[in-house]
Amino acid sequence: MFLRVPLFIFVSVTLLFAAGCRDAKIATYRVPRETPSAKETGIAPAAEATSLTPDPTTIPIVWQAPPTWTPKALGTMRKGSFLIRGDDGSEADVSIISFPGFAGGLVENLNRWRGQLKLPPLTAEQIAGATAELSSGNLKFTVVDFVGEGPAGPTRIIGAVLALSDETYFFKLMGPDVFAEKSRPAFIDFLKTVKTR
Amino acid sequence: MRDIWSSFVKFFVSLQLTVVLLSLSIILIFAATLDQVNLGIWAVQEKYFRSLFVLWNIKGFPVPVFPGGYFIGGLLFINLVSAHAFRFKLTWKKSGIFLTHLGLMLLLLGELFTGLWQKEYQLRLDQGQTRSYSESYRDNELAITDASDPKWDEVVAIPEKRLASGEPIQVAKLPFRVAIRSYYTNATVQMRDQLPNAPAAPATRDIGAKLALFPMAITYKQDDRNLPAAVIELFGPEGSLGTWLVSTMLMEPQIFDYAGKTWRLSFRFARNYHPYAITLLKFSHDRYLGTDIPKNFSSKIHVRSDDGKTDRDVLISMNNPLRYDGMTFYQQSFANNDNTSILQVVRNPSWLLPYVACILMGLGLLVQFGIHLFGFFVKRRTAVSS
Repeated sequence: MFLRVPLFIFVSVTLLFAAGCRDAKIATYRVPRETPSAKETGIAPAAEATSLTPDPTTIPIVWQAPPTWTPKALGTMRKGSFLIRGDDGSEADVSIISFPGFAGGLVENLNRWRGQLKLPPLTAEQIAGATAELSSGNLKFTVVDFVGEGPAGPTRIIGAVLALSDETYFFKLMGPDVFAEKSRPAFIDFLKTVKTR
Repeated sequence: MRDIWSSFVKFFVSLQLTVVLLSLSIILIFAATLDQVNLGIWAVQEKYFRSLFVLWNIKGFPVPVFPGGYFIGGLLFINLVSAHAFRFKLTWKKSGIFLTHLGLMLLLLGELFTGLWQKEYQLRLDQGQTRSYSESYRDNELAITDASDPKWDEVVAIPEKRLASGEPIQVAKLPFRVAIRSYYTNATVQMRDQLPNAPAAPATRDIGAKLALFPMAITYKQDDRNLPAAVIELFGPEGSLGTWLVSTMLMEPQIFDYAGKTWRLSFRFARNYHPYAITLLKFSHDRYLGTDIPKNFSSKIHVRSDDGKTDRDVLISMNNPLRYDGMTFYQQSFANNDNTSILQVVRNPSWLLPYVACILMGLGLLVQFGIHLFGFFVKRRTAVSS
């Protein structure tokens, strides 16, 4: 019995200390050659991105933001993110996100934006009357302008939807009503810089 | 000497120690629950429960401020074992308590072994795709691959921790030394040509020369992950080969030639290779008729082992995982318009221990209550008859 207990203690303490020593070892191994990546073969990228944040080098479009806009860190969804700051301290947010295919459809997505402004959803016919077309090069944007309520009072969303062959891009400017309206020309000019790679 | 030993034994068998340890564990659980708001469940488990001490970073030095889960659990285990070795006596009347305590010991050991040995990975497969590796959720690695052979890849996988340490890395299989110029636990990258007043490029070679790097706050959210990045410089015998920006945001490897070989650089989820390949034959997302309410998710896969002993189809559904070669494959999620199946892959050699422990504890309580109940009936019958 007197031998058993110290043995138990020794084993337990050894295990406890082993728990604290998880070493990061460099591994070397040989594996069958991976299938060449999309970049190497020219095949469209497979939807195997395990990273939640988009790889900026694989985005099929490019844009040029105005020099007065400040780039912000991308979140897990955003492919572009900017802050517009006014002289009076007002701030508006510009985001660029994309979804595969038609991403649930235009009506649902525009109503999603309306929901962010606490506005009631519109029917497909009403949506058709609330949108405008903007053409730039070979790209066609569907542009909307909604005013509703945000956490800090009247808020405006000026949005543009760009449908490509296999994904849809959403450009959104959101900010205090008056400031967002003032930023509208810069946002429209920004949309005109968007081009396919 | 004998006195020291007896006081040592007395300390470990004492019921006071049990009470103190249980009180400490209550405080530990309470603090960890509060801190979960800041750290998220994963980091809390590591910081509070799977550690000997809870460490606070004071002026850059980790200072132990409270006993951690392994310390308290370990002492409880020793306390319980010592009590049985020195204090309790095995009798039929107390057999239930013994069984219950045995179950408790197994439960404590089970948690220790799970903490030490459990590994969790993810396997993402598009329909028709075959993979022989799964990927870690949280751990990343810098893979430097000699891609000169058309059939085989020679991989040197450097864990993220080594990049974070900042120390230069020299591996016999690499003809160059890897120096870590900077490391970021969480950072985002953007194309410089899309940014007004873009900051200087962080690297000189490949895509790093066209990107801007923005460090971000470390996230502890459960549904979010940090995206580490690093700027590395490679040195051959003749000097610097240039600097590369490696980021987990970049899906494509960066390719370069050196010493007559083609090399690929990729900062990616840490991979765990299996001696078998899994192909996703079909992913099914069944809904209740006429609704969008999910009814069942299942993946029909094909498993083929390298040694040819296994070559079969398997259906994995939500409560029917595949257990194979020490790994368990659960249906976890799906993506890409139902074309991609995501399987959770878990390796836990001690997965049976909690079940055995709970059965033993249940049985022990049943036996103990049964003995008492039986004693009570006997006593009552004797009282009535007298």
